[in-house]
Amino acid sequence: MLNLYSDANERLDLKVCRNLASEFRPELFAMLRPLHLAHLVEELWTPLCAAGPTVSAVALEERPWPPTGVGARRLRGFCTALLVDGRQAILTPHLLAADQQSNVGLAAALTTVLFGQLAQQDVREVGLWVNGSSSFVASLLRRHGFAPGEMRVVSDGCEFVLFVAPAETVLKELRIAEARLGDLLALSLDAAAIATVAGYHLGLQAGIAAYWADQVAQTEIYPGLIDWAALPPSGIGGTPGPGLPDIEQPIFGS
Amino acid sequence: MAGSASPTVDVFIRSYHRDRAWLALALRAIAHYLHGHRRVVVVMPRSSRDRMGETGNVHVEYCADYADDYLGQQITKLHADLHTDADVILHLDSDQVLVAPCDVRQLFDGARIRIDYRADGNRPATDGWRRAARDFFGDEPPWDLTVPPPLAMPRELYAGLRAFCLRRHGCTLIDYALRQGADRFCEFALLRGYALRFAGDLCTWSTAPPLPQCRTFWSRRETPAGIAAQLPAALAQESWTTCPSA
Repeated sequence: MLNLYSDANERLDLKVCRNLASEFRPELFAMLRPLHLAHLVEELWTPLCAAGPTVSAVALEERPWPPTGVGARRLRGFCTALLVDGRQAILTPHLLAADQQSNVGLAAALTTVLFGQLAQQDVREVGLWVNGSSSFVASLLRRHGFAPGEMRVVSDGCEFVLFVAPAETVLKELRIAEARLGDLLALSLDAAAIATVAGYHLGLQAGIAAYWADQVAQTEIYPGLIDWAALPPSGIGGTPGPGLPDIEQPIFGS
Repeated sequence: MAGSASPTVDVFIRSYHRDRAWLALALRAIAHYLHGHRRVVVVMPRSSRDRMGETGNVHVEYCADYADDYLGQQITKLHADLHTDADVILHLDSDQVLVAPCDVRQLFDGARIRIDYRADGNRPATDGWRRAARDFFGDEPPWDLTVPPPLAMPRELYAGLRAFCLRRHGCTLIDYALRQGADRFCEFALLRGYALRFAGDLCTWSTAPPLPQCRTFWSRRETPAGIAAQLPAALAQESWTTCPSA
């Protein structure tokens, strides 16, 4: 089944990388500039990638010629996961290039590639920060196997709850667990699967749109980072905070 | 070659997912027009496996993924003898289309293999690809050896070329290629250069292409649909893509 993006998707290379902000820095700027989001390279992805181990799935398009050099590659979309404790990954929803906004085949392919890489690293569980007041994204995620967990962060007066699910369950709920990458990119799926995949990915895209627009209080999804400055007292999920400096330790005895 | 009267000839195509539609066209053209070959061997990187549709009766093998597949495809071609046991390997690219009937006997001059070169000096001697042979062998070849395929090569030359690289450069041909980079490496110049130096009795050299029925397009910019008007009706009437499996 051919669709609006079939030809363009056929030209894409999908890869994974460890540090999106350093490995694809020029491409990241070039992709985000038309979206008016270039500032996020410095404000979000650079600190996100520096804060801990990350994995990103990226879609790249090569220009006809030459195959290397400045401007040889164009980033067409990506999604990122921050690895936490080696067992869990906190996701930042995909971002697609300005002319790819309804390319749900690409979004689904990026999800599959990212989850596949996480599985190879034995990371089986994925999570998303969801606004505690969210109904739309919270319902969407529940429908795809997510459930609210214990972890919380606070930012701009809002509390975000980590919704967690086994990655395998998410892919099954999306009806793409067995789909080949080529079929996803061509959206060569049955109509029900296309609707499911589109609902999930466009829902995430809409859910984080307010954050991209710098309206954190209105965002349904917070990017997949752990900002210690934003953590509520007592840390993630009740983890004890840092110990007191030696000089403040109570002194016993005489 | 083993010295048999009619050596086996396999067509060898190194492809990848981006050339899916071109590959489908090239395979259709081979099935339609080429005679006398044993089989077609298609090799592509493992990461392309999930992106390809049906390839019919063609023998498909998968090779390593390379960070730079432009170099990767050249490296694969220099190891073509590891993917087929044919006496002679006929290289074609995915975007090369046979447009008229032809026979692998055209590749031979008696027992010798016809190999083409360029004498018109179209590519300057300073060009990176043209320098590839000089840098690799240590002296300037008499002609421009960077001509694209079709190129037929006796299978024994591949191992010889790799052994030569180890002796002269102290590294494998893979490491050598990666070290040179895409703008300083030309797989066909190396194959021709090795044949010229070490297999004079196996080859006949000419400026005439061995398979003039082959048309070369440029898959990085053109599409099969875009060049349909240039194809014979027998090829142009069919669909351009193989559909991914549903």
